[in-house]
Amino acid sequence: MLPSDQDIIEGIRKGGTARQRLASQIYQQFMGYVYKGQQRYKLNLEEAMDAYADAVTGVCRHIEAGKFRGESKLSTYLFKSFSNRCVDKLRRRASNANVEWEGLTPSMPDKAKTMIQELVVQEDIQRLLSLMDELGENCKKILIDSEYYGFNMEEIAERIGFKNAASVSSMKYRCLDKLKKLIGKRNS
Amino acid sequence: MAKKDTYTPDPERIQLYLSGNMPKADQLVFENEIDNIPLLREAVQEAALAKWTIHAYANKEEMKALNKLYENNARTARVINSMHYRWMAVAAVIGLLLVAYFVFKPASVKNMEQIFASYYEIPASPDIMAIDTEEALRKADKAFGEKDWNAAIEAYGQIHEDSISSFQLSRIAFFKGISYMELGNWDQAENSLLGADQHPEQSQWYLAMLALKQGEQEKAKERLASISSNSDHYYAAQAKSLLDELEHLKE
Repeated sequence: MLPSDQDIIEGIRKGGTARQRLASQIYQQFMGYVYKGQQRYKLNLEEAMDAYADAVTGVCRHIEAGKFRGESKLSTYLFKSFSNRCVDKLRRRASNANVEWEGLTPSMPDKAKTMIQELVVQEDIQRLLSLMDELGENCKKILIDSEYYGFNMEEIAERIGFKNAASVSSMKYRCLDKLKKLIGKRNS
Repeated sequence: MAKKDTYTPDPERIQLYLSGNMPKADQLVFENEIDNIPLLREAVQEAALAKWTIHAYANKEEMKALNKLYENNARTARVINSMHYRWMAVAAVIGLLLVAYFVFKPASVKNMEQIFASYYEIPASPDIMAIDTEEALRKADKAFGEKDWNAAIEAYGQIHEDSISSFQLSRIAFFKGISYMELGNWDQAENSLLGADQHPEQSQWYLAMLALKQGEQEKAKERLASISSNSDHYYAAQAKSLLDELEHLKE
């Protein structure tokens, strides 16, 4: 049984394990939307699944950024978000475009978004993402756990078997540095 | 404002700005500095792009992991659906057999066993769901796939809980529950299935199956009713159909 909308919002904003668990619970609870997306928007299964998973992670991002605070029912909000993504899929299918950079952008000030918009050009997206694989497993895990899922350093230390939070913290900065260098090399 | 020629970007200030948690007034000052100091602009751009890359990558990985849930459900549903059609195809024969059972085997548990057999299917062997899945988990999944229930339980039990995600823990609980169920170890099967908190739809369905297997008709019906009352539940249709059969049994 899915917790109440308010508990979900609190859990996701807390980050870490609660956020991960709730995302998969939400996903499983409303999986029927995939079928609805296929029927209503005539999407194929892969497109509908992609739109649905994107909607679930998007709703999590909106909760984290405080854009959704439970003003409407979570299920309604999710369905609206899912429907928008289905329409996007149809548009992209028509325009033959691949990935929209903005849909993948985390919450950050508008000016910062504008600054990276010029860098993240469509054909570069896959190359940029592949740089993450060059970081090594621990680096990748630390960056994702802390930046995306919001685990704190103590939790990450436990998850990857490090002695303490301080060593994770210093490794995180080294990893971030490494990623920036890889990105820089790509540009040069 | 800092002098442009001696300026060294402060990484913590940049992180604070990108997190969106910088007070509005400070943000305006900082953005003004970004416009006027090329070194700072470059550092912010670099950090923003790194942040974007991490988020975009993690988002895609999360979407992939979530869609695995759909694929696993769909696979289970396909198995159940094919069983359902097969059931319909041989309905007449089974009907005759049921009549024979009513005559010669009056115990209702026996009939429930038949119904159980027509709905129960061992879930497909689990997929490796995480990139960094450890060896012990692969070994356990392999044993499960080979229906070596004791080996699967032992191998799942050897996995160090701290080394895996809560999602994998839930998955382990689910497949351990099925293994116990196959061995007829009802209490441990129930405990494990109840622990599969991130696989609520699968665990709810198999908990109903477990009650049915134990001959606890009322408990099974209660669990099935809870599943069928949620039209979005993956097993809603199967639960409804099974409930109907159980009601018929009562008559």
